[in-house]
Amino acid sequence: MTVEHETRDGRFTLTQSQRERIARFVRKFRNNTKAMVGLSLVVLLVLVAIFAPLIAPYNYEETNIQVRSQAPSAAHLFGTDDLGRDIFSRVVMGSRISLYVGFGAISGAIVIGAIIGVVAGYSGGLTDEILMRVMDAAMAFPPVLLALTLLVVLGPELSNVVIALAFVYTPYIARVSRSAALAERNEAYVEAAVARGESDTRIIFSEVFPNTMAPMLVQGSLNVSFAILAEASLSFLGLGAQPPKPSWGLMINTGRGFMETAPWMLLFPALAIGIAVVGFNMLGDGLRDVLDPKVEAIE
Amino acid sequence: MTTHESDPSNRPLLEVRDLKTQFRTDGPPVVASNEVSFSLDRGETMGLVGESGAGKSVTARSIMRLIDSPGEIVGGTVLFDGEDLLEKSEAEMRDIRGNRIAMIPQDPMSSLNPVMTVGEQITETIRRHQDVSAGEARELAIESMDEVGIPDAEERIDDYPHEFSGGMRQRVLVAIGFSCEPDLIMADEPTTALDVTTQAKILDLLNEMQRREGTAVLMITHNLGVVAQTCDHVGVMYAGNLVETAALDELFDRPRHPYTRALIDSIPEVGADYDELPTLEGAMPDLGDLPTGCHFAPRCPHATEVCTRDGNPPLESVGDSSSRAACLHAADLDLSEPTARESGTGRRETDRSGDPLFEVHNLKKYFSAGEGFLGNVRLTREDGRPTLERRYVKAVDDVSFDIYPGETVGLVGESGCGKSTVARSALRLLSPTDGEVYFEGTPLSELGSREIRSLRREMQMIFQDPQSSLNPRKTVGQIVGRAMEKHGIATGDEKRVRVRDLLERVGLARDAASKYPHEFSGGQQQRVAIAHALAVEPKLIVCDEPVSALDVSVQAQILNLLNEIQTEEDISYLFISHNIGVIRHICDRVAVMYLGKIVEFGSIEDVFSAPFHPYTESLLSAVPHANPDRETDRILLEGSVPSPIDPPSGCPFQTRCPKKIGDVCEREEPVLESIDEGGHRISCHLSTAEMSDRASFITPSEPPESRTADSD
Repeated sequence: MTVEHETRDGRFTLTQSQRERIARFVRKFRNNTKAMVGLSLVVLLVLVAIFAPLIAPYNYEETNIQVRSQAPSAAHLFGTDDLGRDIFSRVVMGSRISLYVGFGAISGAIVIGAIIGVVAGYSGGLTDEILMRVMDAAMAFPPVLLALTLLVVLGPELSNVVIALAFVYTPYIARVSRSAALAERNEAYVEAAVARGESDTRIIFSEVFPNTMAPMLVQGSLNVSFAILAEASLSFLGLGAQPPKPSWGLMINTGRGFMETAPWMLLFPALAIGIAVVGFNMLGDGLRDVLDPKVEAIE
Repeated sequence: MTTHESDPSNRPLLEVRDLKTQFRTDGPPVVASNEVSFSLDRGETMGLVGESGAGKSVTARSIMRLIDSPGEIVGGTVLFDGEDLLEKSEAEMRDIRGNRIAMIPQDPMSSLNPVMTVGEQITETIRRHQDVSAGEARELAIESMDEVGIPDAEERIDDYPHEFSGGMRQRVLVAIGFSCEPDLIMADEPTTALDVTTQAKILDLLNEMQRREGTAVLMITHNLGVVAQTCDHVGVMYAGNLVETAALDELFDRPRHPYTRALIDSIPEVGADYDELPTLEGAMPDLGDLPTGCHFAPRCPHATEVCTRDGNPPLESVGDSSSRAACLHAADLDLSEPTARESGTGRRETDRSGDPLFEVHNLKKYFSAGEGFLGNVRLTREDGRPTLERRYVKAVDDVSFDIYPGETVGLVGESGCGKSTVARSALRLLSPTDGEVYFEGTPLSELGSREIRSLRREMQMIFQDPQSSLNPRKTVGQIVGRAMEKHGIATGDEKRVRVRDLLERVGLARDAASKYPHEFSGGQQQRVAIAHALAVEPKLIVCDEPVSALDVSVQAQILNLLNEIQTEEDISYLFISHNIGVIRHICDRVAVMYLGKIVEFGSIEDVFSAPFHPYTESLLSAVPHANPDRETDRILLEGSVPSPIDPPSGCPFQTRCPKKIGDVCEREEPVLESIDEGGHRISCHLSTAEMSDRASFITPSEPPESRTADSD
């Protein structure tokens, strides 16, 4: 039955238990179609972004007047745009921008949002009231509108898009992490930690915080898709990535003028956005199912 | 009304044969109810007892065909009045459920729909099964509320569930259960969520309803005391199997299965003497990983090699008795005597000559009666002038007691009496409204938060729900080790060694350190919690209902462990429990609380013998004994506990006191005063003679020969 696991160096290296835990997570994840489809799309996207220069057959900036506005063909899979640039190459390179903004903005939002949320949820009372009302105020603005305003102040640049979107999505993360912390605060292990003499800071970050990570991961991966979409919108509106950067949103904006003559200019970047959004959304949804303790209980 | 004329007189009402229910899992299916067979006659009460996970509820739900996926009934027959319920269509079952077989659920708080009046919920059942008009159904509903003893039924029928107390809600559920005059009632732990005085009333009600209506009852419970009070027949379940069925007296006089014996023995009885409780080693096996051979063999003191070899034994008649047992040795074993209680040291005498370790003086804790800054302000009219009044919940009102080194002081009382608040305020987990707490003579209010934090090393706490008190994201080693690190007791390799030693000390394997809490059973988790408390070598441990979430056999193990640790380390305990048997077993002195006040305080002998505070007396009399021969005349209290926002004037107990002497009780608040030199204090206007109608609750009613056998 139980095997004596006296580790040689005497440290608490986690052996069987941790492996079992991971194995169970992997098994459940695999059985979840949504999560698997989502993960495949996200992995595909990440791989494309990493190997973009190898995949792209042309330089994304290289204009070629001879092949302006050509329909998809063997030489140009997705066709070419009004300046004769290869759309396939641009879409492939564009994945880097989308992922950079998506991951960058949401990582920032998670760091700030989680701290605010856990502190508010654990402390309660006036701290909670003040922090969350500020978050509510930020949430009252439509995300893109708020990001636009910030970009007008910060200046239209890709790194500013990341900052603006991190700010915009912080309240969403904070809200989720607050409600998770609120539930954890009532668990007896928190009281046990107080009774042991732990400081509030330690309880918040060492005891409560790890238990709020699951819902935050779910919210985070859903929000990556929103951030990607928002970046596209901002670039479309001209406040995000600047030409000739191959941002998908920017490409759609340019393609708009040629919708009737060269619909591929608009179609392929739009498809790419679709795939990215659906991928992160499904991954988030699937993660929620997999991490749901109620589903675990039935198992 | 339907007629069942075809009833042959000797046919049982319910006959379950080889009922098998299993749950699909990733691996092989888990059999939760394994070839269970029993029968129940009309008008009879059968108890189904066992620890959690034994398969009692699954069996009952299978009979009503209420098993949801991934569970499924895979075999057997359920003959109800001669018809096999497992063959019926779902529509036919719907006509039977609630009509001919009704269920009384466990939790009165969540079993009633909060947005429907209780009248609607009763008439709903009646109109579903009977062809009556709305008006007639209402009449019937009022009648049934009357029958279950809800006062002013006619006025209260349009009230919502939240307007009723827990006991009254359970009465509503009983009324719904009996509303269609069913042939069979399944009561699933009907009193588990209730306080002991309320439980006594509900059990009386169930007994009375059953006698009046001639209904058969299947009583599912883990409490042998409840069984002894209500049942004619008993079935004992273990790991999905019925291991013994017997007539009630037979079961208690001469159990045939070693598990039954162990179950009876591990209950700390109010009357029993202070000794080590006989315990069963280990816990019920995981249903997905059952031992080969007899499922009970690994824990059975009588197991032989045959038991582990020949598969799980079937339920068979034993000798010429009516009992049936699933044990290979049932015929040869004589289990009529209780397992010899390991002769402990007897009741230890605590030395109270020195200074107390811990003193609580006039502790008060008031909570604001509403949320937010102005939430507790209420407009009242006094002498015609509107005045603003702040309202408070007086959770703890003027409580004083002390604990000496090496002593266990109990706090006992029903839910809401403030016992947990006392503990938390005393430990400064809540800041008290008023009063002072001294630890080794130092008043805690004079300490800053940093000093309080380092004082936490001396005072630890064990919580009720071990699952919630251990951080699920940390390994047991991290949890226990952190406490040592925090107070600089040990770090690095020394810490690791000490954690492992400590885990071994509380009866866990050394490698438990690298596992997560969820990998342990409830009893083992509580052992981890005890190790966590012991890690800092405290002088005082507050135990807040430490065994109430555990099964009786595990409860006995934990109580013994706590006793053992106390003897070795000379730790003091403040022990909070609603279970009087447990208090009786583990405490040296006990404080009985009612509505935020201590009404009686003294040594176990003092409190459990005359003179009694009237509340103590009714509380003690309400405890169901796991002994069918023992009749205590119960003192049933009227009404329910008043709100602590608006406590009664004078004596807090005067509204329900059966011995109220009149005006003085309503006017003057009695003082907790000593009635003898031994420190026995009672807060009551009665004279000691008036409080001494009965002698004692301790006197064991065991036959004399078994007592001499014990003392040998």
